[in-house]
Amino acid sequence: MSINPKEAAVFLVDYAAWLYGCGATCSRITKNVDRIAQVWGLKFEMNILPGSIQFTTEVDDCSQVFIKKTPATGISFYKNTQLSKLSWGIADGKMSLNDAKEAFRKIITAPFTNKWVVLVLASLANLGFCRIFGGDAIAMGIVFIATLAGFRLKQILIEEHMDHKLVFLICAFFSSVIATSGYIFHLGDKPEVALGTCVLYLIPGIPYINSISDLLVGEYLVAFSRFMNALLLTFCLSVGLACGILLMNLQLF
Amino acid sequence: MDNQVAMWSLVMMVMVAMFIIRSAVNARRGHGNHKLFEMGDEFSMYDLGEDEL
Repeated sequence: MSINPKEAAVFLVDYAAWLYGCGATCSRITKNVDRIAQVWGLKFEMNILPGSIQFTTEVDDCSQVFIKKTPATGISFYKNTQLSKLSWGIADGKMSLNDAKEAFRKIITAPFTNKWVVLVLASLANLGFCRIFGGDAIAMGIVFIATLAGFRLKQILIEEHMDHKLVFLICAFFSSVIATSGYIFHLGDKPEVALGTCVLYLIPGIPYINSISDLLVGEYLVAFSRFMNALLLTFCLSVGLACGILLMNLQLF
Repeated sequence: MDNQVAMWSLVMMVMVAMFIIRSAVNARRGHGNHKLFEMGDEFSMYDLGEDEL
């Protein structure tokens, strides 16, 4: 299959950048790009850096470097899966470069899951967490309401392009204040469980897991960057929770 | 206990007020009006047109 190497390189660097933006680990990005490049007979070197992808290939006996900034898109398992499927589609020889570009464009412009569905499901998930940690029905109800309000606030503030760290702080504060209703109004037998689980929806689990995965394959820069981002968000979440507890004067500290 | 209830109620009211204001701002912008607050006075109704002058 004859492929224009420059066009292929531009496609691959874009593909790798979007995979990174959607929350893929470095090993997945490397394997997918390797798979596609092997089919197209492209020799390349790729460096995955925090925030950008650097792709070097030979075009007309001359080395060319393509750098693409990773898009600021939310983590999406759907796009991640579809992009991986695209790499298999290309590897199976079913797609030309133009078909691949068209499929790639459709994947990256696909809409995110309905925000109201995500809102309700996240609230139910946090309610489930409360049950797992031993909460009673009233604690579960409090956590559901706290998560519903906090998650909706998170969606609104992110739509307004507020800094994510501030968003986490504010949402953790409001969720924790709602969750203190168990203490203040003497609701239920396990108000401490409600207070502890009300902010779990804000924990950045995927960046932590991805950072460990990247650490294991030797991508230390990306691993450290992801870990620090996640740690910073967790810190902001903790500050919001602490502010809520201190404001309500629960004297837990 | 009373202080806690008062503080809790205040925080809830702030949150509800934020939601309401945001809905109001979005509704106003959705109707194509980019002015969020309109300042007017009643004296504009006494402005006479050229024919009346």
